[in-house]
Amino acid sequence: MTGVVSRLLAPLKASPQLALGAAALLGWVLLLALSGLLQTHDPQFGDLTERFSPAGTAGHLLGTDNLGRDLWSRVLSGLPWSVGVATVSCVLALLVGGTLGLCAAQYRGYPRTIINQLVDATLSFPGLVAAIIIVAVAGRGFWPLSITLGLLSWPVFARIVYAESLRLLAQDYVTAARVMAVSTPRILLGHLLPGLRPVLAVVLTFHFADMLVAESALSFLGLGAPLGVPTWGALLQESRDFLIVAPWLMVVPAAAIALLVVSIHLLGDGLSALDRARR
Amino acid sequence: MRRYRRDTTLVFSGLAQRAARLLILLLGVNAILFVALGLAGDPALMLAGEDPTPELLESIRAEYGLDLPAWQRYLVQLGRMAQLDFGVSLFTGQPALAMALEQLPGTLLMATLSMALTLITAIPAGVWIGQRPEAASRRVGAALTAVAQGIPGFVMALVLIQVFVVRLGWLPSLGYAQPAAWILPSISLGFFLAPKLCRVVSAGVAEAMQEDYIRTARANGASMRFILWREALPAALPAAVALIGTQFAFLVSGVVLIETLFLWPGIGLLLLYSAQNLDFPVLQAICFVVAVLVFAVNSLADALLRLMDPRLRPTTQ
Amino acid sequence: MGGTSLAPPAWAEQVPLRVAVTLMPASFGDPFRTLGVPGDWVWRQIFDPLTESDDEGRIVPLLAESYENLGPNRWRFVLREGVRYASGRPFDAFSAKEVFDWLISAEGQATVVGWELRRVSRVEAADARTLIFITRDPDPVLPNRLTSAMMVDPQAWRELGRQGFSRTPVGTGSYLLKDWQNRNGAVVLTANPYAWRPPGISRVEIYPLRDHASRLQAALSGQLDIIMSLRPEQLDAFYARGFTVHADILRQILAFAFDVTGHPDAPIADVRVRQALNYAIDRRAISEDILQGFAPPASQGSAPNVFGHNPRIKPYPYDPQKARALLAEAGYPQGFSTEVQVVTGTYPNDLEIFAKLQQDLAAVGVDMAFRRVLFSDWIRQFFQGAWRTELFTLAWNTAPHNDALRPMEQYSCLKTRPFFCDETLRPGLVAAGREMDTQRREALLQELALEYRRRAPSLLLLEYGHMWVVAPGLSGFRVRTRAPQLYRVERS
Repeated sequence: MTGVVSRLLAPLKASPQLALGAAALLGWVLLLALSGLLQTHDPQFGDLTERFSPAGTAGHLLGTDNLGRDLWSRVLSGLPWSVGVATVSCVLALLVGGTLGLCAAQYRGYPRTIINQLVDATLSFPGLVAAIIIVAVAGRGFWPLSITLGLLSWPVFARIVYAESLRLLAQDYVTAARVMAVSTPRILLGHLLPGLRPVLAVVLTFHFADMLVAESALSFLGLGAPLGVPTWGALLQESRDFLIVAPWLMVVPAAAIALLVVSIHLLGDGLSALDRARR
Repeated sequence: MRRYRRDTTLVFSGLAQRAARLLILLLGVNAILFVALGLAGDPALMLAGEDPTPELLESIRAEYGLDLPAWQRYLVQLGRMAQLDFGVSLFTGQPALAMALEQLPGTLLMATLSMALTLITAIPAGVWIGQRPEAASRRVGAALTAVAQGIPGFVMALVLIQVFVVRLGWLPSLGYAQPAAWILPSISLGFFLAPKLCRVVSAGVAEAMQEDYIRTARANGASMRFILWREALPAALPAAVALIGTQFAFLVSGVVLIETLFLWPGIGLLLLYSAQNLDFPVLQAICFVVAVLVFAVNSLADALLRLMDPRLRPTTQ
Repeated sequence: MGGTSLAPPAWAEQVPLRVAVTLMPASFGDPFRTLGVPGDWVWRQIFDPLTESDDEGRIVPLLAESYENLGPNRWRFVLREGVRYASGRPFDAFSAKEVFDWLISAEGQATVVGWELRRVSRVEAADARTLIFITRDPDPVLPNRLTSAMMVDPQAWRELGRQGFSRTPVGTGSYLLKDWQNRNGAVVLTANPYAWRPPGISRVEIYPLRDHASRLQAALSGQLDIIMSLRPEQLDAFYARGFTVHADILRQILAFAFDVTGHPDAPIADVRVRQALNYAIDRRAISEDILQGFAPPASQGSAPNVFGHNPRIKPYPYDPQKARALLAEAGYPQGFSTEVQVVTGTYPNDLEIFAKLQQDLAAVGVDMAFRRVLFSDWIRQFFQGAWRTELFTLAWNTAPHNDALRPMEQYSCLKTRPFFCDETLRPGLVAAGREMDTQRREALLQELALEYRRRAPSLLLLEYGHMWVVAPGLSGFRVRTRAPQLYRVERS
């Protein structure tokens, strides 16, 4: 048991960056798990007499919004949504895009042509139109939002996996494996995937940030989360009307997004540093 | 000589292949759009105003040919599209393609400016960070790019306007006629891509710096500048080019936001209005123009990729 | 670009009047395709109709000099003399007849404005100044309807075709259109040399700035002179800079309609429940704390200044106890859950109002979920009369007639596919639609307002009129018929 733990902890000791990233991630997971408990006020209901209390007001650590709602509680209550939407859309994009990109790299001829066509078609389709149609047909909600973002962004993974795989497939160790008649699945999983890992770690970390940001862009256009759900994107988008009277309404969710992005970034960098160290 | 000939035939067959791909792409986008728009709503209702009677709706549908069955409308539209005729806007009565093309220069100008801005900031920054990612100053730089990436472009735009337009009064936020008004939209739009590009470049460069051939070159006394720009950066570029190719379509979505905020007469504004009004012909025309544009950019990206990485050239396959 | 200049320079005449609105008319200069705003904001600078609404909201002649009702089906309009189109051609009864003939033709009837005039069977020009309207049925609000019928130059209309005309419209207004979208994205208007009301400032730029924050920032940085629709809490910054604020007196009533027809078994089918919800919300707090008094609490389906408004009806008082008692009486002592579909972004502060409503309703046990829908989806349900939820946003909109009857007809069996159909109201509505005597008609409408109040077909919220903010140094600004009268504006 201790052996397993120390084996798991070993990389953390080796890379302080990774340790920092892991600690930050742990912090976020804790916040996520306890988000309900940590809310000091009802995130939906506020006291109109307390509207626009600046950050630092007694009882309202991060201030209140245009309806006197406590911003700290709202940021916390939006956390599961924002993180959930970004995670689901990332996983979706990675699964769809990664698989198709790998297939396109491995199988020349029709599969490659068809996949590349699909990538091109998706990339050429204005995301706004797709988002409007999905909202019109499926309404607003966690799943429509996550799926919209995932469906719009899988080509990112498809293209990068495709390009990287082509590069890797041309490398000597893969050619050698081919010559030694190693089976295709084994080449893909055993030889390609490890090679893809560094670039995927980077792409995933920034894609996650992208999805957090994209959610706010959809909110900006009125195509985001349902009303009353204080996702960080929705908080940001609502805050721009109060840029002058209550700038903290923009600063707080922006800082939350930035902190989360930096944590993920630390983790991703730590992983790739570990990877470099291993080789 | 022989080699040259082989390359040109390849180029030509490549062109024909590309043209065919573009055609399939356009047909595909058009068909998806046709079906999807049918699901999105009924433009006749948008035209008819409050409480339309069935007779009014019928006459509006008849006027715009919306009364035909879907498959007939699709065929009619295909036939027209073959002649580059997308019909007229349901609201303005203007030819749809002309409306889209009229808005294109504004968008292209902004996209080009912000792309140039992105390249000249993100690549040097990425190389700088990637050179020694463990150094403290580079870590701060990397963290800053991560923060920048977490800031939505529209937030950046609002903050920039607040500082440079409202507080300092140095720049205008409206208008497109004077070049001073180009600065803020280009920077804001650049925020959609620059931080990502910087990170991809830095990751690639950092990766490359570990490669044996670069270590060898360093051991042999090659200058750092040579190693970074001639060896490490090229290794990082395929991923960067692929990123730009995939992000261009996102840039189009970013354009919608930035054009809304700066009242920039571009294709994004038209897209937003048309999508909200269900102006189908204009939407079809815009998607056509955007598809051609994205295709061109991606083809360019592919070509660049092949140029930079000889292993991807078709000759070797 | 920083701040507004202090003294008007010698070339002040050349400085355009810069106006920000939220949207441009989707049909450009074709004034017949849509009704009301956003078209009005631009069209009323280029075109004039025969009638308009005055500063108190009464219908008065504009291109007409006077009008009278000659009988139940016959109206005579005497037109203003010496009016010319921007083309230089004279405006008279013959050109007006040509426009009306098109509007009542089969082609014209497919337009929204033409459809408004469907009761008109014939228009005759008795002489160059006299226009006679003959209607199929008595139409007491014909002069009101004519506020939307812009007098286009019929020759230009004919020669350019509808599409050509929409790009280069020709009217009798103070301005003529120079450019639909100049390189700054603005609509550019210049003085009409033949205008019967020459403008004070000869050049106007109208910017469609749909985003609220960018309107605010452009205004604060001195890039705009007249700005539409800002948030009330930001007005202090403008008062401090010497701006003046004008609210349109033609207000509409923000409300959520109850889909009683589609949900006959839901709690909201019970009138006591509908009344309870009306008692449960604190309109005064919303009006004063969120909208800073700019939108007063609504009492009925029309605002004051609207013909047929009943001044004896007061807004529902905020009375949560009474709300709970009514709910208990209706059999819902624990409250219930319901859902409302809203279209957002049509007026400022809407999300805040919704959040406050949700809070107030929760206090009496009513759990109301807000579902945001696209307008295209909303209008489809509205037309089909098939609502997915028990409530939906629907303003009692008395525009363009400024008459209380029109929104009542929406809340009745007269609507093609009704959502609230009470047959006992039908005779009153039909009578009010035909009554030619002004006083009797007003009494009928006020009586109807009372009947509607008893039936509570909607959750009434506020009276909302667009707000216009005007930079210091400008005088003469007025809003009439929902549009700013830019020709009156002068630099002082």
